[in-house]
Amino acid sequence: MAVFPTTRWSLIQASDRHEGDVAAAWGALVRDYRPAIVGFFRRGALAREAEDLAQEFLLRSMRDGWWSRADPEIGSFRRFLLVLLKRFLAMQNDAGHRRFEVTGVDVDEGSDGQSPERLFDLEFAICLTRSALDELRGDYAGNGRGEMFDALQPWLSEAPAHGELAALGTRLAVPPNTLAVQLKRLRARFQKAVRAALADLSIDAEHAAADLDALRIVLGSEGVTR
Amino acid sequence: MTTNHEPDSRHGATGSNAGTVDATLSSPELLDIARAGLLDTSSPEAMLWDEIDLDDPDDRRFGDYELLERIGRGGMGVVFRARQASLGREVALKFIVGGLAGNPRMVARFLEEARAAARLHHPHIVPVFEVGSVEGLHFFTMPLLRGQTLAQRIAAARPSAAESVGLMLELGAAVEYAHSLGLLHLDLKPANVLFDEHAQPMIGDFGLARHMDEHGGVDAQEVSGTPAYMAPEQIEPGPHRLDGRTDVYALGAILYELLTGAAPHGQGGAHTQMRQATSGGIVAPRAFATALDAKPNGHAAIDADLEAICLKCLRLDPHDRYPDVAALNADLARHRDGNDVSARKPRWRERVARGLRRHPAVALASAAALAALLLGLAATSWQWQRAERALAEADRQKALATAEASRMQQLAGLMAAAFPAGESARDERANSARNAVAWLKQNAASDPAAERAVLMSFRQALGKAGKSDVVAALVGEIVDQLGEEYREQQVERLASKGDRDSLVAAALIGIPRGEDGVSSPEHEAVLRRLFDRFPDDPLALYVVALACHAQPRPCPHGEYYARLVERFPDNAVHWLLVPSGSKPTDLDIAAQVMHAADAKAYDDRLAPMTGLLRAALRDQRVPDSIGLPMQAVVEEADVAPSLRRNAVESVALARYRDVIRVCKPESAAMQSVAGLREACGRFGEHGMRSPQSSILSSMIGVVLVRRLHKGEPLDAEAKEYRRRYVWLGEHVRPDDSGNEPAHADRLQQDIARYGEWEAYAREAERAGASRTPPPGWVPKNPQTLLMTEERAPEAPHH
Repeated sequence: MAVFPTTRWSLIQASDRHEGDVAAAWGALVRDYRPAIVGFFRRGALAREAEDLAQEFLLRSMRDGWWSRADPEIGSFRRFLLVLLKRFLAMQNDAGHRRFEVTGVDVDEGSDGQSPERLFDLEFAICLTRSALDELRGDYAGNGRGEMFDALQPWLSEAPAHGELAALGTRLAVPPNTLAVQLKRLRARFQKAVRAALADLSIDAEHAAADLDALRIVLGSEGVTR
Repeated sequence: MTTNHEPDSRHGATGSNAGTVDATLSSPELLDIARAGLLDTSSPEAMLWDEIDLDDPDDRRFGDYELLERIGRGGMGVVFRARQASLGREVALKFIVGGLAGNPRMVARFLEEARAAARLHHPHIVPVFEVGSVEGLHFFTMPLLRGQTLAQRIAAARPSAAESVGLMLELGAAVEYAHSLGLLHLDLKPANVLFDEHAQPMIGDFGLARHMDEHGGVDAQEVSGTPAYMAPEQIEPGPHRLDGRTDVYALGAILYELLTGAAPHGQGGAHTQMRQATSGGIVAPRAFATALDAKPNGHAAIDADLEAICLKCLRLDPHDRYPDVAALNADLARHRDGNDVSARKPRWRERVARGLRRHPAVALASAAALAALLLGLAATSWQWQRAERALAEADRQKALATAEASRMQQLAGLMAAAFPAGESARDERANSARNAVAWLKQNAASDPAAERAVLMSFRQALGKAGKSDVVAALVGEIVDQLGEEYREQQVERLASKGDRDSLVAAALIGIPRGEDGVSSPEHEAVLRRLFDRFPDDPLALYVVALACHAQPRPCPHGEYYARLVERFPDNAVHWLLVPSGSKPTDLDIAAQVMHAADAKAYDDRLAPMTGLLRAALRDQRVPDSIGLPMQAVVEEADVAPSLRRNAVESVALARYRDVIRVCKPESAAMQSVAGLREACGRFGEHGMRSPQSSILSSMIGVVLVRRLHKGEPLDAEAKEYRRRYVWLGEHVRPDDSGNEPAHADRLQQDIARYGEWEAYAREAERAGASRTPPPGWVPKNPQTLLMTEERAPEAPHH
């Protein structure tokens, strides 16, 4: 017997669910990841209309039930969304070419050399991070430790400078060593939360790992040329 | 597009509000957090930068190395200054991190290629000392260079052109060497060129080079680079794999920056730059420098050869670049040594100047050859002496390291000195013009700019010699000899339009010029189309037969003439348009004259042909091959109009030579053919008086009439036509079109509207003269009123 799908993504793909529920789930997903969709549109000939395009994309995906086109082989929300976006943009570009011949609207001049996929992935990673942070903060707050979370969160991505932990320890009346341990735990939990958020958008661990690799490559090379 | 039905969704990044994090977190901060969450921070690579405590001896120790200082960080690695314990030296140690680190295949390839790079030993390549891995960390080491990078140097003070060439030769040699060992760099850029303590340039980052496969290339997919210097095939992997020419491109980009101070793909973000690269829209360095010249610190002018070398490297299609770095280096070396480069055919005058620098004797000899050539046309002893003096002067000036400009002036002065002047020397002058332009064509062929330069000097020299009036002759020769491309282009363009008027114009323009001009296949096809498609159109048939009649080579299409006279026998001129080379006997010619004398009309169709040509050639682009030389003798804005005027002016007319010969009173045909004398008279009279006659046709008629009616009233009438012609000729000078383009244009417009006689009369009125000579008027040269039996029938200038 097949394992019953349980991730957020697999729920959308499941055939036995009520259509209205799936539509709602899809709507929530694409709204969560709207910045990634906008990011995708920001790199291309129609960049100035990125917000509008994203909005149209959302509405049409809802109206036409695009989630039902999800091929099980695609395996993750991220990849499926990219496929949809590319198709959508191709259609828009056909129309857009005619338009900017008339209006003289040129392609985006201020872009910074990133492909639509790349910016999509960067924004996707940020959405994912936000979602994981929200999740984590909820957990901490639920245990009455929201303040601790807020105090340590700035150091999720960088090491505290000399004396900073001591100052915080004084403020929170917690020994600095304890704070260091707390920070280490927060970082570990946060990493787990991000991975869990990603897994929730994939059909299985293998696809989640593939997405993780793709995001890592983009994050790892962000801001450098090589 | 859409209206926003869900305003809150526009910023809705989060789905749930439970435990929302600080909403003020910016994207960059979130990005860093995303990195912390997603990048494998448990792997030691990612920890290196932040986590290693350089104050802790244990943290500092790394195999044979002791980490001393963080130097830099990039996506692919972090670099430390380190001391190698076993050799007691300081090195730069680069760890591989980022997207590479987690991918075993990538790591394996990195190691393989870094080891290959470690085999490179070249004075201008930063050597790789060691490639290895310790505790699961991949790294390589290289010497610690403390000098500037080339990028910093360019920013501080751009090197001179000579320094740049020297530098490029050193870099090129290094890259050529690496290629010979099968390694492509693929990220050559000023920031990757470092200077050691002896100020020697060293190419760095060969540790990330790619090994060419057995086909001498690399697939583009997995390679990145720096947008400002990347070759198009790196940006858009298409049919081309990456190979040596990809590095040639980057070397060209470095040269570009050395010359201009800016990278070739322009300002703006990477995206803009990549688009610029893949569109091939690179601003030529000289144009770029010109744009900068407004700034006070503008650099010295960029050498045209260097620009050509640079642009050849930067060609969009790898096939158009240097085939390999060796070829680039060879050209750079040629440039350094003052030789012609392969990337650019040097301009004629530069060749002279270069020759002068290196081989004064040869340059002098060529000046002497030119003088001899020109003087051979009109050799007089004083001209020889003058040329000798000029050569002696040239010799003296050469000793003063004459600049090319003065050399040009000498050459032009020689030409001008040899140029015949004065009204009486018209034919001689035309000859000299022909020879001067022929010489120019031969020596500066396919370099219109050089032709212009020579002609410009020539024209100035003519002006100094008081011979400005020969400019018109020069224009005609330039158009005749250099205008072929222009004419071919027009024939093709008009032929492709395909309507009747365009085809007629094409048929007229395409009539070959000169003594051995050959009708082009396109032109032949135009005639055939007109003949086939407009069998009942008298003008179309007329022009087809005229083209066949007026060309210098024999025309095999007797059917053109045959149909014209068969369908439209009632125009006298039609009977004269026999195909070129058909060698009619005197009896044949006599028969033509008798037919022509019976025709009701006498119309050589100059007006409609003029109108058609003018309309067809309006606002036409002029190719450089003729446009640039023309700019030397007429104003730039007048180049296209004067080409048009010349095309219209030189429209072919019937040739009367045979008719004049046969109609001489003493000719054999006159004696033997009954009725010929009477026919010649009627034909001449008709031509002289017909309102549709061109002035030339009228003058032919005058000659025929006067020969046959000496002393009769008709003779007096004919003389009066001749007087009118000379009068108008003295008051209307289309020859001087170089001075009065507007007048010449107006004259042609009037010819198209009213015919030639009337047009000239109007122009005379505009010049303040009467339409006809006043009684008792005598021309400046009374001889011109007389009939000159020697004069070729075409000689009268109208």
